[in-house]
Amino acid sequence: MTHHQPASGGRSVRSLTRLACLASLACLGLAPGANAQEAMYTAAATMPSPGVSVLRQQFHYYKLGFSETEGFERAEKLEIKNSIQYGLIKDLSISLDAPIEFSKVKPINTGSESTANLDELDLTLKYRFYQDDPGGIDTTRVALLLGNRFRTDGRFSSDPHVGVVYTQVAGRHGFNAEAHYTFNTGSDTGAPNYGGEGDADALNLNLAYVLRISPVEFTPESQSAWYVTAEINQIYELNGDYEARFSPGIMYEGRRWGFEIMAQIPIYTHLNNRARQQLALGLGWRFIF
Amino acid sequence: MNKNTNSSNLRRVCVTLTVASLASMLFLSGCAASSGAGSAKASKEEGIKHRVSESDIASTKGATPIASPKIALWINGMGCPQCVTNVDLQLERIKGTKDIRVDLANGKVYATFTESPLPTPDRLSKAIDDAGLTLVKIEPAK
Repeated sequence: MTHHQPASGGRSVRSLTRLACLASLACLGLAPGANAQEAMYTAAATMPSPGVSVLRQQFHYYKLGFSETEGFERAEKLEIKNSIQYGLIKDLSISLDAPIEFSKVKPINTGSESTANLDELDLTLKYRFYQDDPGGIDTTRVALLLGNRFRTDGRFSSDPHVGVVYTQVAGRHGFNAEAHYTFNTGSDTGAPNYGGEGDADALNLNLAYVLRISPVEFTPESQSAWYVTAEINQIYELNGDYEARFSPGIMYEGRRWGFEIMAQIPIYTHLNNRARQQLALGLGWRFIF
Repeated sequence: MNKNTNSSNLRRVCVTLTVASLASMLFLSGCAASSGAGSAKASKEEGIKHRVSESDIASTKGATPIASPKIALWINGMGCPQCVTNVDLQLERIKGTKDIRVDLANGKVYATFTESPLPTPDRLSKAIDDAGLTLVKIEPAK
């Protein structure tokens, strides 16, 4: 459940822009890594080890089309998702997401409205309960996700979510599957719903295929790798809305840092309560330290 | 939204998910099968199966300090460059660790220890375990 709190004039927008820039610089300054083998929109059963942190920042651009039910002609959003994940003990990590949003909505028959806000904070525990490493590279892992989203506008709201994620790496091929259910208990603020953010509970089913393209075979000197990724991201909301998206991308992993570029294209939609997503683009980097 | 529409959507979700999952699984199993069947032609890294004995594995839990300051750790599950960064970060916590070198091609990590007493296999095993990987053998390195 997202909320969109209109920024009070240009000053708030400038403050948030400044905050976003500082967050970006902090990520760059802290340097190095990532949740290994994790594509942009699908979680992986990988995590930092005890006492280790992974800083991740993603820039997401979303564009929605006309929605009569939501009362706008089009809507756009730039979300800067700042995340930090910390390894608590072996097989257990905690992550905090603090997204900053810049939104532009063109209501029907009126002019455009721009807003900027700190979106809901998301605190999530990841517990890896299964691991099998049959070879030097190959691995199979399964993890449980348990988290909660909190509003940041002073009003109490709690949207708990639970999920399970499966990861398999076989040579240069990686596969992630994630099922995630969100109990949307907060009240709808009337802001555009970009998928799973409305009043209805949401089930996300994500699949990601990760193929290492360079090096095709690691050498003793290999310290980095390039991957192509392909995801299918599905959102089913209990009000009947369903959307499936295809997300191709490219990912780079160095030893201590990585970056990723993705696009998201709708492949099937059946929506009665919200607008269809026309396009989404994503760019992100991550550091491990 | 009536119940019929809801159940219709749910069916659609299930069908899409099932088809996508099966396609992915078939693709992956195809890859695995091809690398296994043509073992002579299989890439080297797909064949990284550390040949270790029960005693090799048991010795990774030993409580006596390792004999050589330079060692090679045979590790399973090093799927990508960033996976092994956790190994670096955990090994660095052992006193006197230096010159950590990762060999992804052979599934090994080399390390040198400069302070006495040298770490025990059990301590090294814990570091690799904490890193989320599996240590299967410790051997002296040149």
